[in-house]
Amino acid sequence: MRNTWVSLTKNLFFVTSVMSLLLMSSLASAQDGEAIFKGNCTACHKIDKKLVGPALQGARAKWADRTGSDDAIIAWIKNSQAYMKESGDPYATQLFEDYNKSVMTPMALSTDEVLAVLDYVDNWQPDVPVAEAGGGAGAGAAEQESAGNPTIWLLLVVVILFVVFRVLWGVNKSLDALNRQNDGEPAPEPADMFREFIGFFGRNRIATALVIIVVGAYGAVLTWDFLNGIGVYDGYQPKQPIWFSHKIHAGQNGINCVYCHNSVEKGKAAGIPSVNICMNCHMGVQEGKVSGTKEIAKIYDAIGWDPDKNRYIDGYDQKPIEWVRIHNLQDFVYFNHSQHVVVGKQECQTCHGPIEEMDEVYQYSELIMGWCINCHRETNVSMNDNGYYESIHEDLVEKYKGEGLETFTVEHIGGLECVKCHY
Amino acid sequence: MSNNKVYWRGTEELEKDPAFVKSAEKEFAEHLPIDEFLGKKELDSTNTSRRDFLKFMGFGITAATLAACETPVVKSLPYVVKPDEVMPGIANYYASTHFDGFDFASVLVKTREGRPIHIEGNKLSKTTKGGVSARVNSSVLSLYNKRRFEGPMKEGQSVDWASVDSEITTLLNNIRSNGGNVRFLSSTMISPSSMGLIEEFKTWMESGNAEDPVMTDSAGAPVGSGSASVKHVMYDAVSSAAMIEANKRTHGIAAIPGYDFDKAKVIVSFGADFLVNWINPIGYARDYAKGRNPEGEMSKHYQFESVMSTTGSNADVRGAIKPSEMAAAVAMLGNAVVGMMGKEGVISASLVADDNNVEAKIKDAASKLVAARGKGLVISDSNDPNVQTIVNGINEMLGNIGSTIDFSETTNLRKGSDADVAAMVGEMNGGQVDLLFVMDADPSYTMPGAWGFADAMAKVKNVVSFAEKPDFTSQDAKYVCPTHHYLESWNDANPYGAEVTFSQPAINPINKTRQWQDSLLTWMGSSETYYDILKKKWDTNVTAQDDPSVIFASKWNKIVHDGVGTMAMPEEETAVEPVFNPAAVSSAASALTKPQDGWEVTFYLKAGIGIGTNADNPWLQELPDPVTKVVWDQYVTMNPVDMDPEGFDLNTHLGEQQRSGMVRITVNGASMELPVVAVPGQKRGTIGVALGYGKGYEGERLIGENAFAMLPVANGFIQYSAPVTIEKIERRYNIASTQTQHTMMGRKILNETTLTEFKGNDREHWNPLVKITNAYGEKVTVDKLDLWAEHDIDLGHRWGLSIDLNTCIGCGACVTACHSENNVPVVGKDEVNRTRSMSWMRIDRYFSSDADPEVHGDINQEKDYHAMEIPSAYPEVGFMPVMCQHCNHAPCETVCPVAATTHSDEGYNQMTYNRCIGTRYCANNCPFKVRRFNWFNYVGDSKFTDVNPSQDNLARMVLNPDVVVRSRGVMEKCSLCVQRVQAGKLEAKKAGEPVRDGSIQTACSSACPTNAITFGDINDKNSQVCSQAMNDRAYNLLEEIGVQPNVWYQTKVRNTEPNAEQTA
Repeated sequence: MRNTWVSLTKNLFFVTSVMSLLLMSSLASAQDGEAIFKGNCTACHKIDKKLVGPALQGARAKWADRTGSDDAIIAWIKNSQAYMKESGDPYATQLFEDYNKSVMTPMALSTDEVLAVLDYVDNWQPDVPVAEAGGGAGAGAAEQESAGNPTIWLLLVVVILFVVFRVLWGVNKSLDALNRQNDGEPAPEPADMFREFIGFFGRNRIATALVIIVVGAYGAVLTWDFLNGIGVYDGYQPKQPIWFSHKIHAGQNGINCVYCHNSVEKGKAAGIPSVNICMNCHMGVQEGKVSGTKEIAKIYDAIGWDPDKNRYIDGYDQKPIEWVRIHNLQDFVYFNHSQHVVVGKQECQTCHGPIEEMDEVYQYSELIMGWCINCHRETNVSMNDNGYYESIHEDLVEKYKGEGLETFTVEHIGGLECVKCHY
Repeated sequence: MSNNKVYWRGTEELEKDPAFVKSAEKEFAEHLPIDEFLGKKELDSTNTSRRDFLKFMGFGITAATLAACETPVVKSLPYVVKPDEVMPGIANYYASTHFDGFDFASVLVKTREGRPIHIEGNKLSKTTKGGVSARVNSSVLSLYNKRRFEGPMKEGQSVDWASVDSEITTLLNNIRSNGGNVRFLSSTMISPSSMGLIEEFKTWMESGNAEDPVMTDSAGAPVGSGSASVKHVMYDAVSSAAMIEANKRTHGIAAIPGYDFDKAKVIVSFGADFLVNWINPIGYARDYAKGRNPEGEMSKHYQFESVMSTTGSNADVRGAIKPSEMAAAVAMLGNAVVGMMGKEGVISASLVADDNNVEAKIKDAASKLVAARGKGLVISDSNDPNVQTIVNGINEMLGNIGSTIDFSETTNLRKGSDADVAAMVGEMNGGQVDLLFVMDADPSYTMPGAWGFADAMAKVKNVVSFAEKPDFTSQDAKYVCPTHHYLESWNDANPYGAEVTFSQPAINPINKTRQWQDSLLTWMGSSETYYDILKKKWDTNVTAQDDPSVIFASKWNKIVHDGVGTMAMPEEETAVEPVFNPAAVSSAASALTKPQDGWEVTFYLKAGIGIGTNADNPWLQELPDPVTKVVWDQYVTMNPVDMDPEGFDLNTHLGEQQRSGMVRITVNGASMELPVVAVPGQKRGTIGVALGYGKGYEGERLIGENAFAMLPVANGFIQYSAPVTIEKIERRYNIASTQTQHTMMGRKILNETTLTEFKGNDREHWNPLVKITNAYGEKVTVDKLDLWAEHDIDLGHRWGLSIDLNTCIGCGACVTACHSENNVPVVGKDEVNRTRSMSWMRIDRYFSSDADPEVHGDINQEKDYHAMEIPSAYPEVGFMPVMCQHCNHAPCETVCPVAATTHSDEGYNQMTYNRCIGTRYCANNCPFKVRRFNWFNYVGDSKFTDVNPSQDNLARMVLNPDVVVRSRGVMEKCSLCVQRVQAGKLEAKKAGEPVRDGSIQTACSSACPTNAITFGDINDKNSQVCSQAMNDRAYNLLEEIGVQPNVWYQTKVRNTEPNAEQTA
């Protein structure tokens, strides 16, 4: 059930990605701008909506109208406090006042980079296809729900067939009895269907054997499936202490995954963000669209922030948030995120699925060894731009000269060996 | 055959003890108690039927299956505010300094998520040069010792700091007002800031109390003894006071000079165990190893001693002498040197029982010393100033002072004065000490019984102990103000010359402890912390090492990062030129002690236990002693010849079924009852007893007895040997030794040659390639013939080790490092006794002696094999570290029914624990006996609660989170530290460059103080390991069986002339 749903969403997600890619490729000039925007700005700004800071759409035009060029807005973006001090621009001061006096971090960006961001904002279009795709996924899921469980249908068919069979058998017997009566033969003993049934198998050994084999095989398959399912928790979606939505944060607000999971490029753990990272934005964003202040208050409770006075409570006894771990890789497996994200250049979604569409996160992949191995068999290692692989690549080309291979999978470089993951 | 020596692993093998022979034929030596179990009487009376058993089993399996299906809920708790420097899953390294008053090392502390988990050497240090010892790298486990004080104590009761502080402050102010004697007693203190602080405290105390001036009686005379007097006394548990005294007499410098073992071409040591225990062993071992390269100019090492020490076992020429012959032996060397150099001043000296040609060996040493004038080194561990004076005289005569012995850069690691401490004990006995502070020392335990420190301490009204954990002194102290473990402390140290090293906390204090320096500051009412003092002092007075690649905010940051700096020496403290005083030597010569008849005992130190500071550290207790290979026990070492039926008639054989005989030894009325272990090489007529015992526990069992209490004092200097009476007692004792377990089936494995052979011949002579006959009758090298399919080992990496048997000193630092890195369980004495030690690497120790045709027959005649094994009383010793050899054609892999052990193209023999079903076929088929089976769930079984650190919640913090903790029923073995290799490769991949040679180190290779173990990529033709593996000295263990290991050994070369040494 979940699998069908998941594969459907996966497909839809793929379609979405392709479409967004197509859309993006048409905006090749703004690519840099987009990267810079996502890396630096999305924590506090959205293009079309207010977040911690103002919506960015149209800001450039407004500033250019007032000051006659982009210079002012560039200076403002680079270091807002310095700009305010130097220029004494009343508009800037007003903006600062309007947005809770939250100071925008000085950005270590070059003028060109700021311009790229501004260009990107100018050319930005609302991400229409994403919304559609999201709707599509919802509809697909609903269809699946109404279709119900096929096993129930199967059982129903079996029951109906049995009833039909019983009736026909009864009719057959009655007719037989009637016939005999008509022929003047003595009436047979009143038939018991169960006894006849047993009698049938007593006479037909082959049929008996067939039934036993079929039933036994089916049972074995069921047992096998059951045993295979032990410890496999794809679809696991526990209730978390905070109703945190990746859909809102990563999807709608487009915050880069690495902003919060900042050890993903450095160490083996992607890292569950500490509360101080939440506070970077939630010092300003004190109310959410979906759950209001209820969930955000839990962060404040953990770290000791007083939203009324907008400051940290002195001497507060901070308490960590007890998240429920979803991806429980066994202790005897060594998995390193940075290996896969930095060296292997894998997207988060490859293993975690359409995380930007999940309100509450569920385990998307099976996380079983076969799943790991399959990927290692199929995924090519990008060796060209990494000095580490230079000589290894030459040796591999030499080794597989007969097969004419030029690209190699993780398997070719020993990615299936036990100690690569188990030590 | 270039090498006609006989090798044996223990006297059991030598004498073909039936029990040993039987176990040697078995793959596993342990005895499975099936018959005992089935023969039990209770089995007959039980009413559990077979059907019941099946029912229980069925129920159990079902229950277990159902329980396993439950989804566990795992919580993940991130930081609330994450510290910048902590990144989950990434190790941080902090430079620090280990000094517990005995062992010094500049170290790097590996921490994970804020927990120290491993200790490595700091290569920037000029004192220890990047090495560590077993005692140093095990110190990380002592941090998590649950026996440590959890907070301050008063008279045995827990109290809070505030009340202790107020009471001691009142006490101090009282003394300031009314006068009194305050004494600090510590082991050697090398921290300039701590010494400065004590000076400051002294000034503060002695300046009187202005607010509460001296009370006077009606006549105006002060009440009490007048003004306060503060004195700091240092003493060393193993004293070098005589050396300091002798240096003062002969060269006018009351300090220990720097020794350059790498410059020394001839080293003559009288008893000094300088590779493991003497003053700065880690630094000396590294320098010593540099001079042991047979391709270059190899040094020659003579050792004269009575106990077979680790250093002695590495000597080219070893002479066994009685402890009382030490003075005579030194004098004889002096005489020989004097004679050869044509000078005057022969001392009359002779040995009483020379049974191993010591006289000839001394003459030989003298001629070599004279030939290498200015490049020799004579040292002694004697604590008799007269002996040390003669040693200085010899060195002076040979011109070694100023070349290999450097008085301009002195070593501060031993500064204790036996005279000062004896005087202070006198004061205490006289009731003149009002307040005694004890830090970094356990005087009640380590002082000679003759001084009666514990009784004297009872006469001191107020004793404040700064002990970390309960010890003999703190149990009688009025106040215990526990100090931090060094990994929780700030400190500085000046170990040698102008080098200053730093300690910084690598973890928040675990208990409510406080550094003693901060305690003093609190009591003085200072607003500063010790950290402030350090920072103020070293932000200016230090030169940091140059490293243009990193820029630090301040010099302080830089030196704390490096862990070392160079002191800016004040002008007036520049070195005093040593001026030789010949008169001192002649007066010492007339006062030398004479050798004595009768049994003598030497009190020696063990590589693991040392002076017993960390005797409760299970890693150290389970570290086999380098020479005896005994774990978890104290014992008497005795020459096997003395133990034979004509002697004490003791059992020389160790084993589970072979209990050791016991003796009662009596020294000056004090006696101990100890088991006896046969140690070939021990001087006949002497025994050895290790110090440092009677302090550590294995569960409830106190291990050994305190031998410090037996030490005699002669002319004010503590002596480490004494006349002894020995009587055999009828009790027997079980001793656990790892040596005769996991046998190599009697095959020759330690390849050895002499320097002359090595220099004069090509490798065919001393390291021949193994050749076997193929099907066509041709002799081919063994790699040409094999049964296995080739692995593709030429592509990518091929990790391997090269182990230089010439520089391996057998110290065991690698073994404890491996325990620490790989979460290897400690199993306790009983399990070791059952041959179930879990150590992934062992250091095999082989005794060898020249085959004498008269005694041993013709070595090439098969019929004489038995005769070859007639023992020698004074053999040579070789060490050989053995871990999984990572065979390319591994016999273990072919027999695993579930493919749990397989081969990797990177050269590993991989062990997959979760696949293993525990058939143990692999261990049976392993020719090297390096596989270890988890007989128990060591992390859960109550049998191991007291020994295995991973059972207790505190000590569990020491586990390496990158290595899985194995469960019961699986095999395990050396993984070549695959977790480190994978991490190193990942770094290289992220940086986009090939793996740099040397950037990846295994735990053993990085711990090795002599760099005997080299790790690297054999396929990298420029790597050090490749050049070593391909050189002429390299060979594989059991090469003839064709398993093609990825571990190479370098032939051991002894600097001896073949057959020139005669053994008795």
